Parts: sequence; structure tokens; C-alpha cells
Amino acid sequence: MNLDTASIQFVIFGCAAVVLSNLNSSRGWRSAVLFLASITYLGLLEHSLAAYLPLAAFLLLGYVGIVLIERGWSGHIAWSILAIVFVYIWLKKYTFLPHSILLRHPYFTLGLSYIFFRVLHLLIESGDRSENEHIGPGAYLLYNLNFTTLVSGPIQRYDEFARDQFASEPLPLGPRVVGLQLERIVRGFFKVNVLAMLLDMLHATALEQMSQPLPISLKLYAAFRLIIAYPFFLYANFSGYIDIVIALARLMRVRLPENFDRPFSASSFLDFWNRWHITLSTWLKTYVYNPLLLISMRTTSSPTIESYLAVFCFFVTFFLVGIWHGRTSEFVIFGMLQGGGVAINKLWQMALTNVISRKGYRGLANRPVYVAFGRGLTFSWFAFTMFWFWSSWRQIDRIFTALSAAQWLGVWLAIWLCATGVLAVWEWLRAVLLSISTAEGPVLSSRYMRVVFATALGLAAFAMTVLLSQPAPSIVYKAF
Amino acid sequence: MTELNAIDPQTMKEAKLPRQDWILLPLLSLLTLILLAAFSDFVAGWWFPSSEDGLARCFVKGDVTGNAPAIPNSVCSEKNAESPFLAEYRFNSCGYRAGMGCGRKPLGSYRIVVIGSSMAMGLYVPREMSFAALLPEELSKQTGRKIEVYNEARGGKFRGGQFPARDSPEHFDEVLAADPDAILWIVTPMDIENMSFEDPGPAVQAAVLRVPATGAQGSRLVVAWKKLRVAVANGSVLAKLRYRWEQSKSGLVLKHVLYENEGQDRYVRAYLKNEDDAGFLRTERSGKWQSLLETFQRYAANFEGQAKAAGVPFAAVLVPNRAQAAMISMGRWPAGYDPYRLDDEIRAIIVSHGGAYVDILPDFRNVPDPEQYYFPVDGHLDAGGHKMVAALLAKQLTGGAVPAFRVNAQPNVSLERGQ
Repeated sequence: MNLDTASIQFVIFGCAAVVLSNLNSSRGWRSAVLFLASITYLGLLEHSLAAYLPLAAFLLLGYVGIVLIERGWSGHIAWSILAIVFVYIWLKKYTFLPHSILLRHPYFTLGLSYIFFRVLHLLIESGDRSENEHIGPGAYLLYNLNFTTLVSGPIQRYDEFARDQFASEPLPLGPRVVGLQLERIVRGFFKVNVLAMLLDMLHATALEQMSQPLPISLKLYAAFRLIIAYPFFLYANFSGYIDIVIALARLMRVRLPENFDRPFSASSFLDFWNRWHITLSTWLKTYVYNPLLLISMRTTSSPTIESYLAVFCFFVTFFLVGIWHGRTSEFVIFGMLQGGGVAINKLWQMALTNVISRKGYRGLANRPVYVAFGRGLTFSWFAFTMFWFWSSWRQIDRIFTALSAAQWLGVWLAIWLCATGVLAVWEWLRAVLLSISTAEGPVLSSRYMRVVFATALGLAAFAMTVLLSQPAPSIVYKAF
Repeated sequence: MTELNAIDPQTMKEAKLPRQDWILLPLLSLLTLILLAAFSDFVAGWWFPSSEDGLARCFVKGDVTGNAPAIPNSVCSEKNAESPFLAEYRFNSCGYRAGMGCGRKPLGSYRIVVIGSSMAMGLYVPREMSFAALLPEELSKQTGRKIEVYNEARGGKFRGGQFPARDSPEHFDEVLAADPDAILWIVTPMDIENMSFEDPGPAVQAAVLRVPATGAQGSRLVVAWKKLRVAVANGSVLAKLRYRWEQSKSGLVLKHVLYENEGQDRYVRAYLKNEDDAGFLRTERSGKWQSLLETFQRYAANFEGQAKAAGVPFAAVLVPNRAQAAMISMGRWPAGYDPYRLDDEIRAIIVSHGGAYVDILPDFRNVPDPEQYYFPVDGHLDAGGHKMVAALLAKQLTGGAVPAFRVNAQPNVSLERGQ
């Protein structure tokens, strides 16, 4: 059925659930429809009941932990968390685990990472919950198996989910909201099925060329395309899917958190992680960075060391962000590069503040040239780290030996400069276009322009999917 | 990479949509569709110009079977959108794009008569660039003989008929009348697939004849509704839409650009997903393909029998299709597929009836990106592809696949013909 991606089947499935859900606005009906849709969705993804047993056991373990903590066993939070983390690592078959302890029969793990974050969040928060905020098994399953967030998130907080899902007065759903969500579905579908597909093609061709006996100028050009294509591909692939599920959920009267906020506009790596996979970085900042910083600060009274502790905590947090993405050693490097990037960014900010004062730094950070170069550097660094995200050690070796160290440096510098220029022009153009406005707001985001925009994207997506008659491309983040 | 919806819909006022917008917005959407479709087709036509029906003028009009022979001594030209050339088709008095007059060969020359379909005829490329024109030069150079190729290949479906057509065995005397010293049959996977049109089974015939009876009762609206219901039920709406889109200029251009730019691996993976097209590459033969190969065997037996009776050596060669060539060049393919499978089957059939088989497929291993020598959407060989096939054929023919051409073999034509 191809339902675990941004396929037309998934959109139709989601729309059917939306229509059913809106037949009655009572919370019981809406919850029943969401539950039924989620169970049907799971059933369509995997037909064997036995394949679901590990996932069911994982959910049960999480629920037992929550109930125990709610009943006053709060001293066991740490053990419950450790148990959940271990079972998660075991079920995901992390490569450092001995092969002999892993389950042999095939089982369902799609969306397990996102369930893991949701269960951990519930466990951690359950100690602070009052008695009448008890989470029943139905609500627990509904929150964790919600088909709109199952495959690739976004990672929603339980209180936000419950606020909308169990509200006696559901969120309003007028023609404007419906129109906006339909436009968003079309946009997401276009991003995944057209934009990401073309960028993936560009990336694959460049990768092929890196191992071919080509003149050095063509190899340099291939390396350039290889590096720049992937971040855009990943953005289109992931954010496109997220657009669709956010819109479907909104049509079912639940607001999902945004996961992207124009990430390539970020002028620093710290800012980038505020805009890319927002729900993941927010989760880790809440449950790793903040407690870690708090604990570390308790151990020292020196203000100088305190600021370096923040750097350390940033490193740990974003190292975890990196290694969460995969089970192999490539992701350890990816994590170190993310953590390293954020830590160096923080150290740079601290050094500049020391040299030119806080006010001076703020002034510098607002200068358009500084922002443009910062944006270019952020993009080029992120693009460079992506090697450890999408390729294996063997591929990395083949790619890196295709050019000399000096040539790679040249490619990277070229990407920095190009990204600086292109992204600056893009930001300027966007600002100019958005400045054209009427009394109702910017013309570019008026409903008339949106209709034109959505029709054009819809036509392109339809043409492409019908013409190629291929299954929709897979969503990269469903693998994590 | 803007996110126009950064404005939370929830924060927007849920005011009623102005009444005129209920009409204006759908109209705007429709207008966008029309303008975009028209504009993209205009741009596609300007970017990839073509003259679609030029070749049809050289064929008898109104032939529904697609097997009409070319009009003798006719000349026409056509430019396919994917080809840079305006190809001229000059048919001789026998109706063949032979590059020479109809009749017996000149004294002292060795004549190979080529039979096959559009690929062998050199569809969409000028004759002088087709392998039928390039091969004699290559062979003559390597063997030291005066060799000529008389091309009796016909166009593909609706371009003068598929080959073999139902009446090809009866018309094999035309091949023998060309005074051949050897006959070379150029086979493509599509030729074998086209044989399914040869002998439609009773089930297919019944399906074709089964036209839904809408009747004249009821209003036009009711009839239209019934038609739509039938079309939706049998899936023909989407099929029709797809067909219209694929026939459009913008569809062709988009497909061409995509196919031309995608990597070999991706192209092959995408191609294999289409079970209908990739059936011949499967290791397990479907019932359809078993039946097609049986039909091929019948034709091969007939042609080879007639050639043998006339004492003319008979050889066949399989020219791979675009995806097959890419798979061989890559040297890897998914389990359940084998690009050499059809090659082996055709060899077995041809050899079992006494003919020779010229195997050029393994040589595609040494051709980097051979798919670039095909028109990406149409699938025929382009000029570079014809040159490549001419070189591969010459290599195999002079390498001993056909004894008559083996380099250093004595040019004793009469002896070879007698064998």
C-alpha cells in the first residue's frame, strides 16, 4: 500500500480519516476515529501480528513505568528510563550489541524512535503529574500510535496532544483553515515527490561521477553537487512529509508542532538547530541539555568554568542528536560533528564577546555581511557533515580519495562562498516579495496567490507521479 | 525554501470566506491549470521541435493493422523530438530503405540482407548513420572483401509494420529475391513483445469486442454518468489521462530530461519496477513470455527453414534495449532479473534450427553508460548507438560468429552458400 511515505495512498488514507473524524465533533468520536485509523494504518503496514509483539512489549513496559511512578514509585524513574533506553537500543539492533542477544525473527520497528521519545517524555513528566491528570491506557496508545506522527514525528508533547484531542470544544475548522491545510498537503506532496526526487537524482548522478575516470574539472563539479544536493534533498523529503502530516492532523483538529523554520536562513549553527528538526532538538534541550547544565553548574562556583560547562552541555546534547540518527559508527562521527559545530559556535560567540564586548558582538551579529557569511558557513558545515549521515565508510573512503585534500578544501570554500551569495539573494528576494502588500497582508501569502501556487505545484506533482508511475520516494527519517 | 505557512492558521481569524471567493478561487485554479499546461507545451515544442507524421506519408494510408508496406520510390522525412536530425527516408522500388536499388547484387560483392523492425531500419536517424550503412564499411575493411548490406528491415508498429508480421513467412521470398549471401535478423526485445499482437487469444478478442452497452435510454446526463462509472470501474480514466499526458510534448520533454539525467542505477531500478516492460528481464518466465517465445520459435523455424532450403546462411542478433544495456554495463542487477536470459533463449532457438547466433551482449560490459546511445523516451538507438552496434556487430561477425566473415577466411562465397 506504500502508506509509510508521502504517497497518494497515504494522502487518501489521511483524508478519509479526516472526513470520518469530522462527522461528529465530540471528543469520543474523534478519539475513536483516530484510534481506528491508527490501528488500520498499522495493520496495512504489517500484516503479521507476531511482528508487532516487540513494539507492544515496549509500549507496555513504558506504560507500566508510568503507572508505577504515578503511584508514588518516583524513586524508580531512573531505572525505568534506563530500562526503556536499553530495550530501545536492543530492539533497534545497535551494532555495538553482541549479535547473540538480538531477536532473530523479523519485527516491526517503524516509528519506534519517535515512540521512544514520547514514552520517555511521559515517564519523565509522570512524577510531576497530579492525580487527576492520570493517563489512561487508551490515551497512552492514542498518543503513541497516532498515525499522523508515527512514522517520522514531529515529536509532540502529551499535554499539547491532549489539549487538542480531548478538548470538549474542538479547534475550529473553517474554510480558511481547510484551504490552508489543503495547500500545505499539496506543497508537502510536491516537496517529497518532485523536489526531493529531482535532488536525489542530482545527488546520485554526482556520486556516480565521483568514481568515474573524469577530468578533474568535472570531478570538482561533481563533488560540489554531491555536497550541496543532499541537505536540500533531506529538507524537501522530511519537511514535505511533515507538511502533510501537520495538515492532516490540523484537519482532524489537532495542532502538531512545527519541525522546520526555514533552516537554511540560519546565520549560525546554534540557530540552525533551532530551525531544523525543531521537535527533536527541543526534546533534547529539555531533557538532556537543561538537566545536564543544572547538574554541572551545581558542581562549580566559578563563572568562567560555568560558561565552558554550557559549551560542554551543548556538545553532549547535539552529539546525542547526531547518534540518535543511526546505529552505526558513521553516526558517531556525525554526532561529533554536530556537537562540535555547536560547541565551536558557542566558543566563537564567547570569544567575540570577550574581545569586543557583548554590545559589540550584538552589533556585529546584526550586520548583513556577517549574517550572510555566517549563513553560508552554517550551510557548508551542515552539508559537509552530511557525508556521515547518508554514506557508509566504504563510500566515504571512495569519495574522499577521488580528490586531494587541497581540492576538497577548494570545493568546500567554493560552497561557502556560493551559499553565502545565493542564500543572501534568496533572503533579499523573499523580503522584497513579502513587502508587496495590501491591507489584508502580503500579496504573496494571500489566498489568491496560494491557490495559484498550490495549483501549479499540484499540477507538477501530478504530472511527475503519473509520468514516472513509480512508488513515492521513501522518507529518510522513517528509518531512524 | 520558504515556508509560507509560517503563520499559524489558528491565529488567523476564522472569518467567513467572501462569497465571490467561492467562485473566484476555483476559477483562478482552473485558469492556472490551463495557462501552465499551454505554456509548458509551447516551451516543450520550442525546445524539442519535431515533425511527427512525416514518415507516415511514405506508407499506405488507412491501414489499421500497421503492417502496410512503404510506397515504392517514395521519399519523406521526419524529425523526432529527441533526435537532432531531420531523417530522410528514401524507399527503393521494392519499398525498402535499402540505400540501393532493388534487384540483384553487383558482381563480386557479398550481400547481407538485413531483416528486422524499426531499430534495424534506422528509425529517426539518417540512413548513412544507421548501422546498416556503417556495417559494410567496417566489414569490408576488416575482411578485405567487398561487402554490402541490403536493408529490408521495416519500421516498427505504425511505421510500416512490426517485424515479424503475421504474413512475414509468406513474404520471405522477397528476402531471398534480394540475392543474399547471408541473412541477418536483427531482433529486439520489443519485437518479441510485439508478437503478442500477432495472435490474440479468445479471451483478448472477447475483451476487445466487449463494448459496454450504454443504450440510448435516458438523458445525456445519465449516459455520461454511466460512461464515467464504467470508466472509473475499469480504471480507464486514469489510463486515458496518463496516455494523454504521455503523448503531450511537455510529458515527453520532462521524461526525456529526467531519463537523460538520472544515474544508471536509478534508471534501472525505476525501469524494473514496471513489470510490463521488464518482463523479458525476469529470470522466471511468465506465461505471457513463454507464449511469446513459442511464437518467436515458430517464426525462427520458418525463416531458417526457408533460408536453409535456399542455401543461404542465416544469423540472428539481439540488440538489447536501453535498460538491458545499462544493466550489462553496470554488471549488477537485483535478484530475480537477468539481462542475459533472453539472449540465451534466442541463441538456443536460432541454433536449434541450424542458424548462427551473433552475441553482442557481453560486449556491452565494456561500454560505459551505453544507455546514452538510445533516445531516452522513445528507446530506439540514436546515431551514436548505431555506430556502437555496427562496431560490435563487425567485431563479432569477423571474430567467428559467422564463418563467412571470419577474418583471414578465404572469400569463397559460392562454397559458403552451398554449405
